[in-house]
Amino acid sequence: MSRLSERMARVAAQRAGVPRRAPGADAPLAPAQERLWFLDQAGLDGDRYLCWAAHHLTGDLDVPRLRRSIDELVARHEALRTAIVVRDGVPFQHVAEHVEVPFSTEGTIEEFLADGFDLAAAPLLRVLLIPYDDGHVLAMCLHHIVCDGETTGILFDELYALYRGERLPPVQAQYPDYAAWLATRDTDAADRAFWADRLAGTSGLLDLPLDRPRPARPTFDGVRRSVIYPEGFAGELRAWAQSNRTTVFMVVLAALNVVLARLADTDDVVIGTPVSDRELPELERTAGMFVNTVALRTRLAGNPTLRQVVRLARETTMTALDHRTLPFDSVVELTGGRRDLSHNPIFQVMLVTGEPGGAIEVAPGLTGIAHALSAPPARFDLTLVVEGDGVHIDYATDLFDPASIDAIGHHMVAVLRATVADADQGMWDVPLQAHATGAPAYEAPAWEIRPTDEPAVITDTETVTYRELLRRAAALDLAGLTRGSVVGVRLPAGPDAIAAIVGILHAGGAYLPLDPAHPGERVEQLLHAANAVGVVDHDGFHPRDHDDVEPGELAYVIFTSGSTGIPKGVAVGHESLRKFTQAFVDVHGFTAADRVLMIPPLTFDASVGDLFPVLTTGGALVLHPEPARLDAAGLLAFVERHGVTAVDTAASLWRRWADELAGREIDWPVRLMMVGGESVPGSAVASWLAATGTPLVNHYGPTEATVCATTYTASKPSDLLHLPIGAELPHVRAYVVDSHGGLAPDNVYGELHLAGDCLAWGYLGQPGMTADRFVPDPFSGVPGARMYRTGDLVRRRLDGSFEFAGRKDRQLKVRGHRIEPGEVEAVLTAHPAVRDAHVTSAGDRLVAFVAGESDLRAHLRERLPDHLVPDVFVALDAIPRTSHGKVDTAALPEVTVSTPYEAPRTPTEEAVADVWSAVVAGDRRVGRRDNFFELGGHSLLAARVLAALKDRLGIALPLRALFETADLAELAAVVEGTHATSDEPDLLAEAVLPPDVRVVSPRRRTGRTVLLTGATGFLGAHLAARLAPVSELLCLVRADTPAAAEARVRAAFAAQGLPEVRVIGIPGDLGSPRLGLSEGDFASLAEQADVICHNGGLINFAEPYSRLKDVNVGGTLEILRLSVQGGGIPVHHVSTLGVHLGKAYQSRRITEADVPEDPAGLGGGYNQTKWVADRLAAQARDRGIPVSIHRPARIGGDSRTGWGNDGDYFSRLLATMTRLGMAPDLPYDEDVSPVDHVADAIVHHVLNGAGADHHYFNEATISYAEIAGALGVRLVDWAEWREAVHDGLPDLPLAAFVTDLPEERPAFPRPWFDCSRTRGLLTAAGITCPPADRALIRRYVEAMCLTS
Amino acid sequence: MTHLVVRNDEEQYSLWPTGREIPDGWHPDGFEGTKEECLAHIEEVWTDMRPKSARPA
Repeated sequence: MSRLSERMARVAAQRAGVPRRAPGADAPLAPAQERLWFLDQAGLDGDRYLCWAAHHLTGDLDVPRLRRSIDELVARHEALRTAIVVRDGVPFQHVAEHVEVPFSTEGTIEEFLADGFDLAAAPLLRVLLIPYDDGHVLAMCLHHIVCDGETTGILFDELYALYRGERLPPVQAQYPDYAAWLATRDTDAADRAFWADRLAGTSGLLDLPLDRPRPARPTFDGVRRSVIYPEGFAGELRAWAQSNRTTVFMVVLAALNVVLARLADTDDVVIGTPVSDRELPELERTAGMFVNTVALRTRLAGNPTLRQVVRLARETTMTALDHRTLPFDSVVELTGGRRDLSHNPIFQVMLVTGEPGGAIEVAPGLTGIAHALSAPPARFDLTLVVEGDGVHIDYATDLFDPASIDAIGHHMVAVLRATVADADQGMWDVPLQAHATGAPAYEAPAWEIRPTDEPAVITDTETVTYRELLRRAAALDLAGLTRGSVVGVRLPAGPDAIAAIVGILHAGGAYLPLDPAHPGERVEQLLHAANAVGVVDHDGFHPRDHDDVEPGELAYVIFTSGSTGIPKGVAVGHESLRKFTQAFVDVHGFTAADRVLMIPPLTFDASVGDLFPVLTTGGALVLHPEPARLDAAGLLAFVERHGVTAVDTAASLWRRWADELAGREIDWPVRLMMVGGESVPGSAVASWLAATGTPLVNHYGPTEATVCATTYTASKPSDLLHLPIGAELPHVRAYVVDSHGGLAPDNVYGELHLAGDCLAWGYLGQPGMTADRFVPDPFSGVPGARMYRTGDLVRRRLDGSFEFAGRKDRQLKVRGHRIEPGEVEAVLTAHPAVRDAHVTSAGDRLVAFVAGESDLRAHLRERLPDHLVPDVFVALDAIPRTSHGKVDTAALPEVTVSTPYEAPRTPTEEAVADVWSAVVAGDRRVGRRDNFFELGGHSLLAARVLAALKDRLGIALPLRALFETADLAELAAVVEGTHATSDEPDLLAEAVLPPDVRVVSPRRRTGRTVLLTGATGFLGAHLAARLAPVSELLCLVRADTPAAAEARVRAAFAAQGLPEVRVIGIPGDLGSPRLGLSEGDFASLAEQADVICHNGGLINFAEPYSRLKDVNVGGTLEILRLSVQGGGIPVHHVSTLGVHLGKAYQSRRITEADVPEDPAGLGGGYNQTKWVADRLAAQARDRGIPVSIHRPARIGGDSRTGWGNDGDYFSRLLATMTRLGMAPDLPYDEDVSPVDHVADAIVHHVLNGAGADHHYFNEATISYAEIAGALGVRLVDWAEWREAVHDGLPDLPLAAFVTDLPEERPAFPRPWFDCSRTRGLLTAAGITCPPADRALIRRYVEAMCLTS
Repeated sequence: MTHLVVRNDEEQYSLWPTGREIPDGWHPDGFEGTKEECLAHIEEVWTDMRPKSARPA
């Protein structure tokens, strides 16, 4: 018995079986279903996760009987009647009693499979029966959420049994029961620990070489390619597996590991495979989704043998299967990190075992055989299906071309055959299909320049014939040079310089081009380094002192700067120059008729590619005095003037021309445009070809390989991002070398190595560097051959052309993505506000250093795939660069990988942060640069977060918003850009008192029992402190027990410096029906209370109506219902003067007689809920409840002690003024009614009967000048205040309320509250309001200083 | 990982990882060491950059 089956038996023995759930009850989703539901919700084509199978039926088919059998089948299995219903954002399985199965007899199979399912509608099954061949095709299609591969087999079996009229045993366990039972199991901590450890450090993305860039959103279009084993190989493979005590699956898994490792050039491969969780016997015949996916991670460090890889694969699989029950989604959560919708998490390649097919006897006279259907949607980059006779590869057509998949299939077969043939060879040593490299030998004759009267060099000012050129060359009189002596040429490109070069070469010397603009010192350095015997300038030849020259076939020396910035003299011999010249003539078809405009200066070796091919074929070199300044118009004129047939230039200058000529149509003599030096964007090629029709030839080659090694001719528009660099010239061999020093297969990235007859001798005077870059060539078979390591990353496409992928030493890998930083830098620097940029990585983050504007995420998102958008932007004044212009990486600031905390800035960000903190972060602090998934968020929490955001902000976001935003701030921006799904609440409709609130049998009250709500609040504590001594005070407080409720009230007394008095705690909740009380408690409370003071509510100025409604409106309604139940208990409702802040009342006089009928213009959920509650309370009067409405304005601290609500806006404003030593000069006065006064007033009315409305606006207001005086601070203008507040945030007390002050000095268009009636009543009762004056303000601030 | 200093019949020098089969036509010159040591050695011994075939017969 294997370890695995032992474990399974043990697990099964522990299980008590699957119990039946309550009849008709909905069941939770099984974890595997949750994942599918999530994909559906996320808009990730979740509706397209289908299972399908079809049989080709021949014989007598009784269709009505078949349909009855389908109905019976559906009646047997609850899974076939299940829909996914959602309540409060949580999905459930709901089983319908009866469903109608869509049964179609028309259309094609493709049409049948094309549509998804609406998960909310059962059945998630449809059936197709169409004529086919001499019989029918019967197809079933189900959503994966109720089905798996085994299920389709079970369903066909049972369908046919029912069709035959057999009686089937009842289904032992139904899937929803299984799901409900699963939910009761403890999560397996050991499995979690295993997977967290097993997958630690995976990049999450296997960097396979793709044919096209990975789209941000996959289409899931998939196609299957198959590779059939060679004759007899299937048997050999089985035999090898058997004799090595393993299975074919393991051998194939090992081979797949090898192939993927080599394709992605990695030693860390993760492959997925499906496993079934039908561990209990009673589940064996149950329809449903039992499949989990496990990730098989194999580490292949070094160069293990194929046999070792098979062993590793087996170990990987066995340990993974031991921990297979943890749902894949949970495994994904464990690995944390950002989620990327562009690919499957953790692994992108799946390995599955195919189903064997065969004929089935359906019924007497009716047989069936599996009917192959199209490939399923490509949920992974690659899915390998192992069958007996070969390997099928289902692949994502977004990413791959069929030829590349075939190549992968052939690699698989190659590795499998290598395993069977010699399993002891290293996995990197198995030869995989690579393009044949270069012709073995390429002959080139010695070149000569013939003395004709045809033009050799043409400029605007002179035309020099070959005869004249040779005459000038000879006139230099260099005869007698030692062969191979280096002679400098310090002349601008022109007839004399070219004559000098020809003269030097004819005299047996080697030429060294020098920039005439360079200072003498630098020129002397180079001459010295090259041991030059002399230099030619416009005065002729000047000998110089030099060491002895060792004679040799040296042709020229050209200095390049190289990556270190130290010039390297590349010495090129005549053999390489001769072969190159011949190759260029052949490839470009140069003839005596050509006139070639040479743009590169002589100091660039690109000029060699013009000089010798043209001069040796008798064409003319055409030179422009200032080629770098040539624009398209200048070019056209120049080309016309001189009959230019070919142009050679740097790609950058050509791009300028292409841009300038875009959209035009020109007719010119140029037949060939040669460019080089940097990558060529495909888009520019298209417009170039449209404008000129002139083919573009892309030249690639380092000086070390003599001018040019590969060429690519673009004569048709290309959809490629960058033009390939093409194929090697005939004298060149080019290899793509993998990280193990072997040949990389085609399509696979590696370092380009150049060999053949193209190499330079090396670097003059730098043998060490030469030996390092020019290394033995093990590939050509030519004894003693060398190859040059270019340092360039390329891959060879199947058409033989090379694709350039950047410098090897600059390649970055971030979260598995290969990134060429130059590509990101190019987009950054294209932004007008960016002066310079440098992109690198820190940990698993892409970092951009930017000189200039640094908040460029949006700019980049529009132009680059997500993985190329930097995670971190660092703004610098300038990118530090060395004197050679290279980025001085040592001088760059260090980037901390963890995101520094940034506090949320806007109310929306705060709301999102609150939700994230509560839902995913365990109440930890959440900042605006935090990423949902890095906080531990996952798919199901994502749904909960969105539900909470909708609840809180009234905004319904699509699930993908969480994926597509990098951090909290971005998500908040999306929220702000989204309009509320529900419009502003219809306040008038909300403010309709339900009919049940009506006093039917009024009862008079004589007792002195007061029910107070909100006793733990600021005003509430003052009310309680006053009511308790004169009544039996019941305080409804959110708490679990009466004692806890009382403790909370006592705490409120203490907080306000109030004397402790006895209250009776009633634990309840304003936001719940019956105030959170049982029916009995509610009734007895209604019996007990003689008067109600309803002061409780949520005070929050940031929340929307919907969030505050339950407590502020619902609570009031329940209080009114309590009153009704008690026969009309008088209610004192504490409202707010904010209900009068609507448009209709601005700048009007408002008295207690003015009814706040019009809510239009009421801003904010708080005032809105208070308005609705105010209106409901008012209407209750007409239903027989004595109601008083109390409307305070701003309530300040206690006028005697100064103690106040330190957390409220006004207190914090005062504290901020004190802190900053200044007060803003605002144009309105502040009103403050001390809390003791408001509480005295309300208590007076509570004790003396209800019925009237009362307003508490302290008309003795205080100006800001007086506030400033009271605080002893400066009165400053708004701008100064604003700046000081902005500078001081987030440390100022006001930070809780203010993130951004408006530029305009605010005004406050409030009504004029005339409260003389309230005042009159109170004065009569001996209650007067102290003025809001300097003394009061000072007391407040002093108290704050004391308490804080 | 150590390297061997190797030389071909053109009397050009280079290095090759120790333990891997040396390509045809290359011969160890007897020095083995780290890459840096090998390059320093080559700096000493490779005094003539001309390939043998490019020298006068």
